[in-house]
Amino acid sequence: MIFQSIRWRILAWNFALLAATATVLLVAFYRHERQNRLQEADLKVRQFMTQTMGAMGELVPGLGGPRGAADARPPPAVRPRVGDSPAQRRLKAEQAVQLLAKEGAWCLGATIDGKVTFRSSAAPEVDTLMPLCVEELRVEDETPSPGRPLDVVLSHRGQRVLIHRPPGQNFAVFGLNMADTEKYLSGLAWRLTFAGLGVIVIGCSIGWVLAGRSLRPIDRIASTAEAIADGDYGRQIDTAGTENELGRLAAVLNDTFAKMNAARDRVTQFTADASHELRTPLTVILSDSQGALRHERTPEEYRTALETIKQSALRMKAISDGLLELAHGDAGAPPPQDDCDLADLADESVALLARLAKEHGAHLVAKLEGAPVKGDAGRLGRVVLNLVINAILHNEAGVTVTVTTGVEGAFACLTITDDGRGISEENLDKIFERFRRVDSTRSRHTGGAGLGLAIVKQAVEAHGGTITVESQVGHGTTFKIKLPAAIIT
Amino acid sequence: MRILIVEDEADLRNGLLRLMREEGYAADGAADGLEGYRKALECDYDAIILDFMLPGMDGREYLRRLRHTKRTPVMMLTARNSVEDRVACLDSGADDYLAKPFVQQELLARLRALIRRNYKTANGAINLGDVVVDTVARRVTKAGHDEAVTGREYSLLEFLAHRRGAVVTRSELYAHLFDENEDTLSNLLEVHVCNLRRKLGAELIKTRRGSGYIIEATDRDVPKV
Repeated sequence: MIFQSIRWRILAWNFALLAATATVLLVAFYRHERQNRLQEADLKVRQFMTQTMGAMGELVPGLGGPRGAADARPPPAVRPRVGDSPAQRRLKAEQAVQLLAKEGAWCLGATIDGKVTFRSSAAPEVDTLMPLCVEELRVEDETPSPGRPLDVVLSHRGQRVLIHRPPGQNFAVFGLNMADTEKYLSGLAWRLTFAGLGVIVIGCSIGWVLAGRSLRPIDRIASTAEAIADGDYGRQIDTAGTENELGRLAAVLNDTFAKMNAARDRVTQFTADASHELRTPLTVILSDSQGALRHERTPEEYRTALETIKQSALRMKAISDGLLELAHGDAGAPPPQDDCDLADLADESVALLARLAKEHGAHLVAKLEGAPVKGDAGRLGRVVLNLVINAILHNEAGVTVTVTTGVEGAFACLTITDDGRGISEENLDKIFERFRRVDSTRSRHTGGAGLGLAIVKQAVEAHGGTITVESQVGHGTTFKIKLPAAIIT
Repeated sequence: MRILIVEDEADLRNGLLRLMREEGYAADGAADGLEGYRKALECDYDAIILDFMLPGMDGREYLRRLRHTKRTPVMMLTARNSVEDRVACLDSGADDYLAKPFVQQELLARLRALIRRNYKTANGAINLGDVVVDTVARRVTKAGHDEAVTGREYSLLEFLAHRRGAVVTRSELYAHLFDENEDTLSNLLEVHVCNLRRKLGAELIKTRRGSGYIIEATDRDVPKV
């Protein structure tokens, strides 16, 4: 689902936040503005009331006289004079009210039962207003405040209305037409709504772009991972220009991918090497058996063919044994922690190999001091045996092979030194690799599968030790094994 | 036909040498790339069987150097049988390859195909008038009847048949019919030619005095375009 994507979720949150913030701010602003306008209107109504109170006092009996001296005085032309008849005074008062009632202001005079006694020209229809006023006054009367005039302010059908009733039966209503204000406020509301929508749209667009930008490394990681899954193992995530958390993630993933790729390459290489090594003797077996079966042969010829086949089969056995041992080692089961001593193992090996050494004209010298270790005695014994056999077989007759054991600090050490032909520097790096033989022509008569030193290294490292080799061409080779020494109890 | 086998595994090399000699080829062996390269330059082999993984000089490097001067057909033997290895093997200049372990019949058939291609011979049976040389069964028939020929006589006839229409010098014959261990100073060649003439008719192999022998091309041999 596309809407489940992080980008869409970020956008949804962004939208919700923006919408809430914009709504709260704009509504608050609108209410504040409206309040201001109403207060302004109320002020105007009160001002109008004060101005017209004098005249209204003439028109509505019992309304009371002017309050402020100057404000309440009508303009001179309509000001009542001493000696005016009541009808003249009333006419002048009406004229004064009409004069003052400008800019949408109006006023009414009425009896307490809602009967209108005076109405200025701009006053609205009274059909709904009067019952409302009567009802309001009735409600107010239930909370008595005797002796004081009563003012009630309310809004009715686009009019701001002030009901003024002094103690008594009659009352006056002063009003202001709010049409302009209402128009202004509704215009403002629309403008604010559009502004809010605009802010939300712009905000969401920016959020969309920003989310996309910050999520782009994830896309790159995903597409690279997909490519790797599809078999393009060498791919790396492009980390250019990403220095944030995702950049670090990409770098870590790149490192992981590279390591996995290298491991995969090693396995592929190893499999190809193993296959190659097994195919070669297999080819000899197949070729010689087919050759032998082509014609009738003399017994001697059959014997030669069988001998070759046997040698090849033995070589295949050596290879598969070696591979099995390496596979066990790779599986990583820790070796048992038996007490053993490198000196004993070396002594056994020297004794076992005495005959082989004699056949090849090699001298075996043992300088053994106690070197106790904990580990797999059989496996460590094969390590020593392997190294000594190598030293005997890979050198010419007359070579002296010296085996030394002892303790150096926290390590039990074993060195095997020969004064033979030595190994060249370029080959020295490769000798511990699987299926690497320094000289492949020699492998036939030594019967090596190219796995011996790889097995030795693996066994030593499984015991927590190290193996190092030093060699000089023409002067000989020294293998040195260091294992953690066991504490003698 | 003379074959060079470059293979570092002694058992396999000796087995192949034995096989080739039993099949009537003159065969030389080389234990590493350098020796094989030197031999390939010295002598015009009819085909080289080359191991891909060699000490001294690997198969690809061997071919790269050899192809500077020689067009000898090369059959590559490889223990690696992935598509990449096969492609690398052919692209480096090998004419054919065979994955180890192989069946001898296939190796021999591919070798015959390589040699035929080299001499632009269309199929396994070469028609020389009423004499037919069957290179697969290594048999010679004259007018439909088998003629008993010795291995050496057959090799001589086959080589001349592949090169029919062209004069083949005595030194070429010596170079292609005898391996490096045989005594080429004897006059065996004349004996074999003489025997073949007796068995298959005096007119088949003609002597070009001072230059060598020739089997004339018949009309049927003219390649149809």
